[in-house]
Amino acid sequence: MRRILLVVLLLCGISLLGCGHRPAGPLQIGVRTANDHVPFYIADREGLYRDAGLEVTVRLVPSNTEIVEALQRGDFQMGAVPVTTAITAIDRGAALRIVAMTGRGSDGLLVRADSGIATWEDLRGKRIATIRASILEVLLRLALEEHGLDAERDVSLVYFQQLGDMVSALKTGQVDATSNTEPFLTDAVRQGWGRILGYYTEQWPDHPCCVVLARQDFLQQHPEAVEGILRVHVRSVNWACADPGYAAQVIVEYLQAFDPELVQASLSREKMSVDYHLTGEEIARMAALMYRQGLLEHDPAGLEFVDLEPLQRALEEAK
Amino acid sequence: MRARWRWAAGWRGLVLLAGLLSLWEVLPRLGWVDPVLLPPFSRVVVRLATLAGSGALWRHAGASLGRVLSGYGLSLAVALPLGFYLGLSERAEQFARLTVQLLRPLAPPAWIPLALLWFGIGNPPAVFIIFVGTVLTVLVGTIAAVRGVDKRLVQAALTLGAGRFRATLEVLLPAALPELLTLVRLGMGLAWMCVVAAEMVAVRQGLGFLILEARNTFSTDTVLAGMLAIGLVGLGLDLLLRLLQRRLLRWQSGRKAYELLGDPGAGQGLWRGGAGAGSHPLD
Amino acid sequence: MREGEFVAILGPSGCGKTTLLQIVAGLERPSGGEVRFHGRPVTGWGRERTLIFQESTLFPWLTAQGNIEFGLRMLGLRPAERRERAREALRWLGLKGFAAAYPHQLSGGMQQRVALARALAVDPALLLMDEPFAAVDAITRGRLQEEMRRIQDVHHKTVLLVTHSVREALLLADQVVVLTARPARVCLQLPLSRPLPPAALLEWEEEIMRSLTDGDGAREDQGAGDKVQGAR
Repeated sequence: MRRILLVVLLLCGISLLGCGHRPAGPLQIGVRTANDHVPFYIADREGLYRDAGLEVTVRLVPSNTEIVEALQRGDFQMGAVPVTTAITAIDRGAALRIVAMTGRGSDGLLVRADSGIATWEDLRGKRIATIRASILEVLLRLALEEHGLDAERDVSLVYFQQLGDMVSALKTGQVDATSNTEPFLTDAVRQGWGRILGYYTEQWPDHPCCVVLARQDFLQQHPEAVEGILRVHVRSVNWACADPGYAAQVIVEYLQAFDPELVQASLSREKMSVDYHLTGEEIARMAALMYRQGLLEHDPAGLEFVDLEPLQRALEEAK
Repeated sequence: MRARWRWAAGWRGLVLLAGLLSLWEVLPRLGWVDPVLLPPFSRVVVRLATLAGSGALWRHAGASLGRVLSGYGLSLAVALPLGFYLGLSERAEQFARLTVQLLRPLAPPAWIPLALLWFGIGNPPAVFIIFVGTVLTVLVGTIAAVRGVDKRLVQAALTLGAGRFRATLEVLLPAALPELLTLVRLGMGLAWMCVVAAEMVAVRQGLGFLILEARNTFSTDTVLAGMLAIGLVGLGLDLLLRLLQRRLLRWQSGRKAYELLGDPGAGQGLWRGGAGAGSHPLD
Repeated sequence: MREGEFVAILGPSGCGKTTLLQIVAGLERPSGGEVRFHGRPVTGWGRERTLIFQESTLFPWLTAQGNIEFGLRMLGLRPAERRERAREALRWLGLKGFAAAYPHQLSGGMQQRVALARALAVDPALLLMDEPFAAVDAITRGRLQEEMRRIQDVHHKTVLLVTHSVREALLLADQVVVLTARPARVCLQLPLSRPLPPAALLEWEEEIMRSLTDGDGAREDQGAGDKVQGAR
């Protein structure tokens, strides 16, 4: 009996470790290794946080899920993830808020140039690779719907975990199309084997792509820090827009992948834009779309996704 | 005496499990553990029930089971005969040894890129990963089982007029059977453990896929429900195999060494003619 | 050895008695010298030289009857005939009623009886026994020895028995060969006439004990001692 008690106590001890710890010291921002997070790369590279009197460490993480999990644990105080990831996390009960945009556009449908698929109609009966419950799937379904195709019956969706795997699968003919993002789209075209059937900006101009998230308790306890970070964010975004060549350079440096020409080509205005502006309506619209597609557990009308105050204050200060 | 010992063993197993489950329920509810990180047990059970009710659970479980049975079945079909051959032929085993030892440490996820490249998407790469994750273990185990047979049994057979082939088939095989059956059971557990890794490659159904998807959509209760389902199915498979083992090995018995050395007081049962065979968890 | 002869080999542990039997059975190769059986050198194993071990080495997945029938199956006998011969062997060794028992259900003595029945069922030309009664208790051992003697009196099988019980050798054998410790050499060879008068028993026993404790070459030195002529 005593032995059992010991085991129980041990388990209690272990479980307490999962109680979420906050690291003392610099603030941690988790961002993904993706083009539209370049404002964070620039801010990090140029020491903009230091200039603003903030102690911030930007952490590059290859997985959106991991960023959200780190936010939930408290390892990160802020992060940048796709808008769909943010909405899903909040729907599932995470105490997070969207405080700014970081990128728009950049997602579209890629096919092989020699496949004979020239219109969306040609996709009937074909296999389309996508990542489950991501912005790639949400917008794909929207686009299919608007072109009169049923995502369940007229096409066959194949789920992957990685963007690169989908491109390989398309190239080798295992799938006929992939819902993917820059710079993979432009890259395939430049290599000569790919054709972009269309960007989702056709269905939803300037749709949100990636957003900036903050822990709710961090927002409540350190609003001035959030403001400061967002002020830096605004600065970096403006910088990237003004000097795309430099932005491309920084992306290549931080991601250590792709070449500057490719990245610069993919940063062109029609394809994607780096932006900080955010409205509650567009987030609500995205959430409603996701709910309609069955990706959310709760009616988004009853949920708070956004906190615009820090951004508004940051913009006022900048004036 | 024996019946009471058995009954006590089952009861003890339940006590520990019940203890752990109550912790699982209480700690998140009290907030000692963040419920976003670990939802309470009851919520997970509800989720599992929902999945079962909607039919989704059975679809996923069926898909995974199919892959595991194919992959593991293939594994057995290759490793058992090959293991027999290598077990009997010293020279052949020497040829194979280095290659086997080099390949063995490769965990299933390491094979994913190659699986995708060679087999594409869907079931084939998943089955391949399960195959590759189990075949070498079964091979090595079979070689050991074959070599572990008491050579006097074979000698007896040979001096009773059995030829090489008949001695192998009718004496070596049955003699190695107990160890082989345990190996098959353990291998099945291993195969089932490969499920999550196997279903990381472009499938639309499966318990592994369910867990992966649930993680990406931050549904921790579904992750845990999926894990629970995996555990239950694995348990079911093991029980079935254990039943088969008992059926095939009815001729076995005798006292096991651990019964004498294990718990204080247990050995006494032997003197009173109790605590017999058949209660070993690995039997 | 002559046909129908019962030879017992005595010797201290480790002198190679078991190896000798294995060589005769064809399971091992000698490092020097040769064994001839029916005039021809032994190159492999076979049913004509059946081996019985100290541990009964019954097939645990077969019943007593199944074990006995094993050799008969190898011979290719039909099921009815097999069953008949097996039952007869069971009867002969007092195992009636245990036909359906599995080895683990039998006592050590019973198991050895089954082993003996199994070997006798295939009617080997030469029966090799490696300390067959050493692993059972003294009482059972005595009974088994009596049994062996009885079988021998009736069937006159050619038997090569290895033992380290002097009494057993004297009780069963027509000829006793005593080996020295490693490297083993024959240090004594005693032809015995059956039945053995009790006085002679004691006498021979003493002599054997003496040669065993002495170690080497007391009496007739038969040379390397690893040349055994088979019966013709």
